[in-house]
Amino acid sequence: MIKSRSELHSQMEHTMNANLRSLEDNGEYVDYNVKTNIIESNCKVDSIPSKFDGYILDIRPTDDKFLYAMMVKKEREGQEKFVLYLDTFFDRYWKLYNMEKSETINKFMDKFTNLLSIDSLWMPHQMLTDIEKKLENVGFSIKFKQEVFGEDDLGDDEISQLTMRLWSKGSKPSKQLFELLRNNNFPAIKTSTRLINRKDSEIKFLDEVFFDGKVTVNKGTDIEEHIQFVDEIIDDYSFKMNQIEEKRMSLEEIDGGFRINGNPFELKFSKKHNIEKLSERMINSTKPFRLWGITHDRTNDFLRISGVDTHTGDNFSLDLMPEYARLYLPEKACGNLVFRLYTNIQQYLDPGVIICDEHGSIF
Amino acid sequence: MTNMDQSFDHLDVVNGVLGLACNLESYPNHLFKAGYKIARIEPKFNVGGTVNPDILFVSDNMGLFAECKSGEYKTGANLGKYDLIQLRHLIEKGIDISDENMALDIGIFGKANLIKLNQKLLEEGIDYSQVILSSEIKKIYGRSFKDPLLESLFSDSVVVKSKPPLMLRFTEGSDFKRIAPFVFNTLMSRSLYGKTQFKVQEITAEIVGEVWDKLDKDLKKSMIKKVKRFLNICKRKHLKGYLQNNKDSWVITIGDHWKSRKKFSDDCDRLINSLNQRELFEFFKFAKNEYEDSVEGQTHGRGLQADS
Repeated sequence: MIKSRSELHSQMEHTMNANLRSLEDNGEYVDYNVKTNIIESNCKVDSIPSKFDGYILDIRPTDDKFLYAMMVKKEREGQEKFVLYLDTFFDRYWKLYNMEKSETINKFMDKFTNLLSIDSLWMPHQMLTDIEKKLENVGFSIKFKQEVFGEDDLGDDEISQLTMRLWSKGSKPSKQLFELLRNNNFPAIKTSTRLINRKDSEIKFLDEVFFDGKVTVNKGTDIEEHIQFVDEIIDDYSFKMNQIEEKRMSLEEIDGGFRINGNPFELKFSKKHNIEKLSERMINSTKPFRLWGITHDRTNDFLRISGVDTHTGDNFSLDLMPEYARLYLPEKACGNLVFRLYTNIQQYLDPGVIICDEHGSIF
Repeated sequence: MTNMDQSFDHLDVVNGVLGLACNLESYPNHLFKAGYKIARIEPKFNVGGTVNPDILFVSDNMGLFAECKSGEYKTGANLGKYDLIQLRHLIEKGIDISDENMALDIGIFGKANLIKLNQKLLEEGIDYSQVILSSEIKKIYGRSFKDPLLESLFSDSVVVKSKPPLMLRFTEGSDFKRIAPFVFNTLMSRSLYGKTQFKVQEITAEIVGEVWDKLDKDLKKSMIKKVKRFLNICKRKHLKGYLQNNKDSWVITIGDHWKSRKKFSDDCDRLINSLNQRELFEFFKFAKNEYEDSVEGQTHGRGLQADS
């Protein structure tokens, strides 16, 4: 087992180099890719449950104060064992490094980020596009599925599902195809973006960044460059999170009266939606929204919902109108609800939706 | 400003006015456009008698006192004295002033009730600007706003597309129809956190939110009694499978599966719908009596009041 941060860096860089050589010589990977999953945590390491959803965790400290080895096995005997390295240096945004099979890690992360105080990132399309500005974009994926309305509810020119993936050598095909989709009103929302970092014609890394905070090294020579890139994604996410959490609403008593802090967020849909169907799907506690709620004000074209985020237990209020929604986040609620709700609406209902605070679009 | 003459909910009007300071596309934003921000809710000033406007908005060089009216007859004891409020009174309250020449406007906001109320105001010699907030927003009576921007914005009729935002969820005097949804989601939230055991006082504090600690002891007592009574109704009716208690120790049990959560929400809906008129009447009568008992003897009930 790796016992220090330097050992971990060496091992990850060794894997990257071995894969690069093998790709060049044999056209295939020799080992599983290096991957980093960024997660949002609102708990301490010692409060992570040691058993959940069929997994048993053994979290061991390393020589580094913030780095832990997380040994994972399935409860049923004879099932796979694997290891992830948990980096808690950033208080709220943890990184989980691994060199394991993607499928295994994806299944585990799905359950791990379902724990009450842990969540994945939820980067909407615009945040992925912002990351592209820093590097050369050589591909993307789109995954849109209409989860709220059935085929019978859709018009002839509406799309119920679109999945695509483009990898290119240069950035031109990627840009051209995306523009083509956008100009023809297809669901142009990226769920991952593929980026090259070249320095002096040497590829430092070719990473794919997914909306949920997973960053896979497809090719690379320099682990430090990859980690620095991941940290920049955390900085950007954290900056947006602070901006959003400043808008949380509260009522405060001050000298001779009360003060209201914060403002509601306003979602602007790209077209009119049937709000009865939308609320039925949105607040039934199931994926993708995972929200629970009670409608307590119902008039023509207006529903007011008092809800709970079943992922975090936080309260919220939501107004639904055919062309708009308003989201009210109370003082103690986690801002990730805004990221999650908005990203889910983009990916499962309305790709053209935008979300605003009083100064305009927040993404 | 406080009385119980309610032909419709005062809180609707308060939220209707507060919403004008938000920059939303789904609701008019007159006050945001004119550069106003919410400075205080229910500030109290002593101008040879206490005056207690509902809301004070301030912009860089103007202030606006908004008085929200939901009744048709009662104008309020000291409404005529709002003109006596000066900048020094704002400064005494710790309100930031950016211009020594700041002028103060007064606006009365309401719905169709303003049409009858205007007669009462005329009888009392009050001619503050009066703005209707219904399917349209427009200044319908009274003098001009000192702020030319406000005068211009409120002179044109603007169609209201939807309900105003929920800036204030409820007040201490709100009936339980207003508070019930927040009781239910506090129960759900506790169930998710695994904090299933609670005392009525704990859950009442969670429902009320951040201002709980600042409320008067008597008002706290009144709120706790309201919540206790409501929990007992819940337990007797559709939520009996979820709520148990031994005196003041309560336990909420909601299954983890989404179907259990969905059933809980359906049962909450059924509970509200099943309360027949007699029960509602008795319940609200009780709640009102509790509330009035609790504020009796106070010069002015502290905090956010039902009213006006």
